[in-house]
Amino acid sequence: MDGTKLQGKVYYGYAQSAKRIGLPFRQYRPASATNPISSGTLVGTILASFNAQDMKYSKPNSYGKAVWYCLADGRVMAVGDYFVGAPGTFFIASMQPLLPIQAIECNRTVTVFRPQQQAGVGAVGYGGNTAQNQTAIVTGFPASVLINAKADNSSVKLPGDTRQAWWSLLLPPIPGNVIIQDADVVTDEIGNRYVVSAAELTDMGWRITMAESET
Amino acid sequence: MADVVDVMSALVAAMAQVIYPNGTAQPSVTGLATVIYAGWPQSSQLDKDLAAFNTGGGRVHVTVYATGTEKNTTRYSTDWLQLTQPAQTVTLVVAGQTITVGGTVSVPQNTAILVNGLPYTYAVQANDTLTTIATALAVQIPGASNTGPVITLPATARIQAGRVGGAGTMFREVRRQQRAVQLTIWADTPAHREATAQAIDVALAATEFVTLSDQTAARIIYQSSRLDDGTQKANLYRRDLIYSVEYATTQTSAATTVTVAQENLHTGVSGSSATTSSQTTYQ
Repeated sequence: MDGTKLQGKVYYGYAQSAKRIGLPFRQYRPASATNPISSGTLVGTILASFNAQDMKYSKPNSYGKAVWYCLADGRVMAVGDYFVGAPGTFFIASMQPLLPIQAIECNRTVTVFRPQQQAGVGAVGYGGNTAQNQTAIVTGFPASVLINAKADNSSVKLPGDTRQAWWSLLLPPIPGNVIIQDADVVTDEIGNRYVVSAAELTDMGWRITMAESET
Repeated sequence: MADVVDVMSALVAAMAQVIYPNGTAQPSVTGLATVIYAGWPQSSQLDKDLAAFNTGGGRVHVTVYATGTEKNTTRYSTDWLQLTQPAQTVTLVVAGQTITVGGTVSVPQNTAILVNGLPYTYAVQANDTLTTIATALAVQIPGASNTGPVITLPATARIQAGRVGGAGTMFREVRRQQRAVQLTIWADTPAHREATAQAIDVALAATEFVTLSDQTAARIIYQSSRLDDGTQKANLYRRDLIYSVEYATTQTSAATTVTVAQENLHTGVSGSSATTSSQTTYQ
């Protein structure tokens, strides 16, 4: 018995558990930074069960917690895989040796833009980012977008403005080694707009702090 | 009366004519859907409209708001001036010993007949007819009677005049002030902002006066402009055009026609404390 063999047995055990208690999920493996949930990235159907970091299944998840443990056949999974099923959408954040598989529950679908980049020398166009001159670097990725505690005054200061919240964004590693930077613009499918304040690439994927940026 | 709210409304109307010279059903001069109003944008609406440019919709917002910068420039006479003339639609025609009430009935109007140096007046009521007016006058005059709208007076009556008066309006300027008004363009790109700002700015620069709701004219003069790119983080490019607007605060009052003048005379000897009886004449 060695670590590799033991790891295989652990994942076999997860697979056997998932056979009994798991629900069917479509498993996707993103191949590019665009539309990870598509027929081209579909790996197959897999049984999986997610719990609120409690293998005894004695407590439910609550607000503000994106991390779940995943019981599924780890031998056919990879970090960054998306699982889409009736309970929701998850991406696999970590598969650390002999430790539970961590997954992130996704509540939004986001697109990340790089603000206007002026190339060349000499006279160039007006300097300022707009929705027309920014470039999408990550498109259509399900992600966890949860409220952070902080909030800032709106820069526009309209009479009806309130303080604008800071948010935490969790994304898997993006294929193609896409690097997300501060000042990148994030939008989601419900029309919210954010600007990245800090982006940290960890072994669990991207952990990003961003400020809501609207009028 | 003209108020700062009227100034804002007049500027909104003026800019709407500039942006949509052929009506809002036709394309704007900038080619951009534009909404113009007094006050401030609602952030959720503004976000939606600015973001929608990327999906084929979208609206530029133009707002008007009076700043707190104001100067009292009162300098003209406060005399009353006629604003609208009284409308007299009832007639009194004297022929021999008869007076005929004619025309059409409308209010407010006053009728008056001077007979033998005494006035007989009647204020026309909304439900009157020519006959009821004639009746109301005839019953006051000794010996007079009427048949329909024709009043017949005794042969001894000396008819001096039959008069009809109405009610007009007059107004006067009670104050004048110069107020800095901020016209703000809220756009999603610098290009959309400048297209809108230039259309408005050039047209307003060529406009000396805008007419307010009380028909007085407000003088508009360009004062300053400010570009604000600091909000691009929120997908917003803003430009403020500051115009100085000088307008009058006016007061309006109803003015009723005088149909009978009453003159009271007191006579006495200079240096004497003895009083005399007064004498009243009507003209």
